[in-house]
Amino acid sequence: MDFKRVYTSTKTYIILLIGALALLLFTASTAYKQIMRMQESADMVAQTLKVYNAIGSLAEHYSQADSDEFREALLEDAYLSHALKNYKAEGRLVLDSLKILTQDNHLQQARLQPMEALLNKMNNQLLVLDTLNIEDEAEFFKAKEAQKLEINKTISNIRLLKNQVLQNEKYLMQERQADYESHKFLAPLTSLILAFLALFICVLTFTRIYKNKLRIRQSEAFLKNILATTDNIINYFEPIFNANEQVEDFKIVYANDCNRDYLGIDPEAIIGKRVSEVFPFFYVDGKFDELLQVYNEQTKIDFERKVFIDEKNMWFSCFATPLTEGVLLTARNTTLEKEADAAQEIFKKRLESQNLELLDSRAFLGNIFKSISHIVMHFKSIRDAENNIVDFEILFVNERINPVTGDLPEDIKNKKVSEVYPSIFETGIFKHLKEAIETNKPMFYEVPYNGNDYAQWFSATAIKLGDGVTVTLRDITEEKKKSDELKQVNETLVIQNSILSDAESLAKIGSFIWDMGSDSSELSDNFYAMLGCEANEFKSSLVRYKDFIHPDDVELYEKRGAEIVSELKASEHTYRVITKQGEVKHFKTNGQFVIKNDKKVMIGVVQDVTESIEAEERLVKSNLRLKQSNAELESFNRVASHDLQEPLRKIQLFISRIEDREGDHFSEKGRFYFEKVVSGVKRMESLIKNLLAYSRIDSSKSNFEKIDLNEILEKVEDDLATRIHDANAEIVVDKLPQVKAVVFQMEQLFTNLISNALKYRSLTDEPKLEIRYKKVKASKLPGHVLKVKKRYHKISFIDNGIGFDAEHAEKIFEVFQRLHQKTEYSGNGIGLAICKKIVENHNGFIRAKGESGVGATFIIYLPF
Amino acid sequence: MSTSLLNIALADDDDDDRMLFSEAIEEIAIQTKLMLFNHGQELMDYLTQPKIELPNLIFLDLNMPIKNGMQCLKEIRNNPVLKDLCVAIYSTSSSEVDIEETFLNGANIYVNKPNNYSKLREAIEKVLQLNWQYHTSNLNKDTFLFRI
Amino acid sequence: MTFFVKYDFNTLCKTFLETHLNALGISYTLHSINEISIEEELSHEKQAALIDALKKCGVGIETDKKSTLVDRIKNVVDGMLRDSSQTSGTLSTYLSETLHYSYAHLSAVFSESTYTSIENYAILRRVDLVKEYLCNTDLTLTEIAFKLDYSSVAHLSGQFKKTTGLTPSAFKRIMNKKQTQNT
Repeated sequence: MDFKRVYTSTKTYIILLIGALALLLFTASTAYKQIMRMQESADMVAQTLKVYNAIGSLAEHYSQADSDEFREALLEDAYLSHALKNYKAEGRLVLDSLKILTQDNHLQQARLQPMEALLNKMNNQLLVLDTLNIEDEAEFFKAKEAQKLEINKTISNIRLLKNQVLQNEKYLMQERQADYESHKFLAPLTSLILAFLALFICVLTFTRIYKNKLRIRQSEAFLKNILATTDNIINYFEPIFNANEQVEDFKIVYANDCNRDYLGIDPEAIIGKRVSEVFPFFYVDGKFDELLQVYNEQTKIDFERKVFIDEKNMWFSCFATPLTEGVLLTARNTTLEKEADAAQEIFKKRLESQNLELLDSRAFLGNIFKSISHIVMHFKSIRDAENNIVDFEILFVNERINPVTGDLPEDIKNKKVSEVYPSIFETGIFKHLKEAIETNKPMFYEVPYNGNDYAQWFSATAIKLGDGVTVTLRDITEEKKKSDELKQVNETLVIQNSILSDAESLAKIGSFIWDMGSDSSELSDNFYAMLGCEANEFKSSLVRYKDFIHPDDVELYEKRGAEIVSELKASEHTYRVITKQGEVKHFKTNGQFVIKNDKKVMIGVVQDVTESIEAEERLVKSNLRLKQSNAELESFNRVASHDLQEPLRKIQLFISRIEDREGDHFSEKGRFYFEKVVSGVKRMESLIKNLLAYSRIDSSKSNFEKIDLNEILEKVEDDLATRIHDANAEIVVDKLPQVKAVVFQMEQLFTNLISNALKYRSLTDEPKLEIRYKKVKASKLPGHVLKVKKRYHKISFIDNGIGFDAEHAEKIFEVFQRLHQKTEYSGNGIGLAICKKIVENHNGFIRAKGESGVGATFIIYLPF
Repeated sequence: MSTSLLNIALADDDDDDRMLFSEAIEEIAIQTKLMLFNHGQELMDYLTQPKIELPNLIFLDLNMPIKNGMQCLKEIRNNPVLKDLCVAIYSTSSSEVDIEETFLNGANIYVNKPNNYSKLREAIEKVLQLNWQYHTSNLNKDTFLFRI
Repeated sequence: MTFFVKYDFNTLCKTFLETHLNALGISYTLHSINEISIEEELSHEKQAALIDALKKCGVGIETDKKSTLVDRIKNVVDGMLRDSSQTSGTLSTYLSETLHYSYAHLSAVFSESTYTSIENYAILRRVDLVKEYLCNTDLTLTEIAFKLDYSSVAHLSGQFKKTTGLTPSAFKRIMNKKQTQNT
């Protein structure tokens, strides 16, 4: 918190002043209150005094009754004593006044109550005394004395009470006096203190205000001094509002003398005028809005402003800041700085351009040497006494030398060639160089260089320059290599071509290149062979080729050709051709467009697909035959089993009819034969039913849906309830999963497996069937089977029946494979085959495990 | 209604079946009048005549020449006059697919031709009873669906 | 726009009878939807008016004594099945108590005119209710078994299968297919 601000701010002083005023008011009211209270205290004291008096007079009144004279007077008065009456009235008067006085003091009032009673009592006693009238003096006296004694007693009571009241009043008096004393002292003291405090604050405030004013005056003077002496134009603007409360212009409120110095404007004259009048140049390019922004958003801006005055350009660096109710604009004359800057700039530019030129021309050469891929060297001749050239000095070499020889140009400069490259004498280079100088003709030669691990070849040019020679070396290693490679490629191409043509003939493929523009084409040798012609027997073109195409396919071929030409996109298509020998062949062709010698050509292959097409046709035909025979088989199956069932059912019906009607008349033999007929028919029925079921399991027509195997099992158990009950079998079941399957088939599967367990039950043990469920990974599946899913449901049917030999584990799933004598166990050898077919129809597997006499386990795996 | 005869129609191409059916229905306590038809067409020709007494219950064999049972069933259910007739399928087929298909096409009862005479009689009796109940009691005809 | 209408047959009949009887100002007691006791001696005109009004809506007054008894038996059975909480004891005792006839007599009359026994009828009726719940509600078999006072789901399934030849789930599947086929 800014404390200085707090205690110097005007607000603080105002608050202090208000505080002081409030304090004064408070003082006045307190003083008033104190005085009022003092008066009250005084009143109380006065009242107490009055009470005191009243009690005094009461006491006096009583003591009157005490005096003997009074009593004698009473006695002597024969009549109802006048004195007594007076006395009584007097007593009442005193008591009443006392009552009024002690109205505000309940305690005292309560005390006065018995006083009144006592007073009455005394009055009565006095009356008795007064009326005492006895003849006998002695007797009279005696009675009078007795009565007197009574009166005295009463009076002493009254006195006691009076003393109490008096005591109390005394105490009250003391209290009130003390109270009064304290008020007397406190009231003026508080007033005085508060008044002093208020005075102190007033003085403090005043001195502060005065000091501040002095300071302001100082800073004003200081500011004026600055404004007068500064060489900046300092103007203060205040906004002018239009009717819509928007700022439309600024008014000059203050302008310093610099306005006159720089702009020739009298500051006194422009004060109060609009900025737009005085400084019209100031508002150009949106400065008004910026100024407005400064004013509205209390931001600061600075900007440069060029002014044209007295045919002279002047520069001002301006700075606008918001100040109280307006904007303070400070402008510094930067004209001289600007002019100096401009001069310096021109000088600098000239210097720079000169420098650049210099650099350019130097760099140019260097760049050339750097950028060219050639090695450039300049040698100066070294001559002997006979003026014969005997050696060269390396004057210049560019950086290209480095990758070739590993020399750095700096290292070999100014050295003798014979030192650096002693081989030039043997290789004849020296001779070439010498010749170039002596004949003044450029020399061209090729040189090998074996500096690196491989041979490099250079093509060199030597040109005389002064008494020296400039040698330019071009690396031609790649070119040399390429021409060698070309030779090799050509050889390989020849070999490949022959391989290709062999391959073509082997794969019955021909290739072609067709130039659309000129309609000429090149055909591979095998293409000709495929058409039954010798290689290049005819000059090939599209028009000529069309002659080979089967008349029925010409139209299609032309259509495709047109498409290819218009879309420039070839696609595979097949058509027939007739060879020169009249043989019909199927050709499949495909191709693509490439640019060859700036021409768009199509290259492609043609394959003789006669054989595969014929094979395909054969396949389609046999497929059709298969479908037909399948359908036939199906309808045969259906009809056979239905039609077989019909007569069988008839036989059964009539058997039952015969039994109903003639059952009682059979001979013993007849009954025996009849039973045989019945059982034979029964077996046939089950056989047909199972065959029908087996033939119905067809994956293509199956309706796969998500089913709950628990429900299936429930239903099957329901269906087999009687048999389960009859066999007294126990079935233990795990919670089974939901699978995607065919409801009827799953029912059949479960039925077959459960009835199997019931059928082949042990003759000794109670049958028990456990149906266990487990999820298994495909990798855990036994044997080499096609696993379509990663996980499988494994459902095991474990019984404790007669079981089977482990060697039969595969065999029992085959149709009509029975492991038992038919009379012993009533199987027909289809049940498990049906199971296998159903499980496989669901992309699953079924496995059997068994041990003769111990039990059998059938495990089905269904994909997840 | 108990005094009047129950009208029953049977369409079956098999002579023996028709004969056994007649014999069996004779033995049943319910008073009936049986009409026999040799195939579906014969039945439909009869039913579509005007002003005839419609049977209370129709037994339909599925596998019949000229017009099979399924066709008859569809025609009956699509005929505004006949659509409320009670239809019992009477077939050898015990294939679940066949059974479901007949139910979906509006059959009320599916009877597998039994291979035993007494069972045949029982089956017919049960069908008649069911039919009777559905005609005389407040049973929901929309869910009149039985397999015997 | 097509509306599918669902009926509560019992309430419908009750409301129907009450409306007509109230309209004619007859004081009555409704024992069931098939049995009304009229508490006053009806004048001929009033009786004719009532019969007429009911006839217009396809409702007739049963006059045959035997068939009336059969219908009453059916009604008692229906009532018992619909609300098993109100009745106690076996069907036979309840029937004879409610209808004031010996069960043997009721049984004989019923069999004579319906070719089936009361027990069979009760089973058929109960299964019909199961069918209704299966088709029109989303109740599970357990809930239906509870509602219709079956001792277990197995009991329900067994009776359903035995009576209709179909399992409840097969029946529901067929009915669902039938419904989707029709719409």
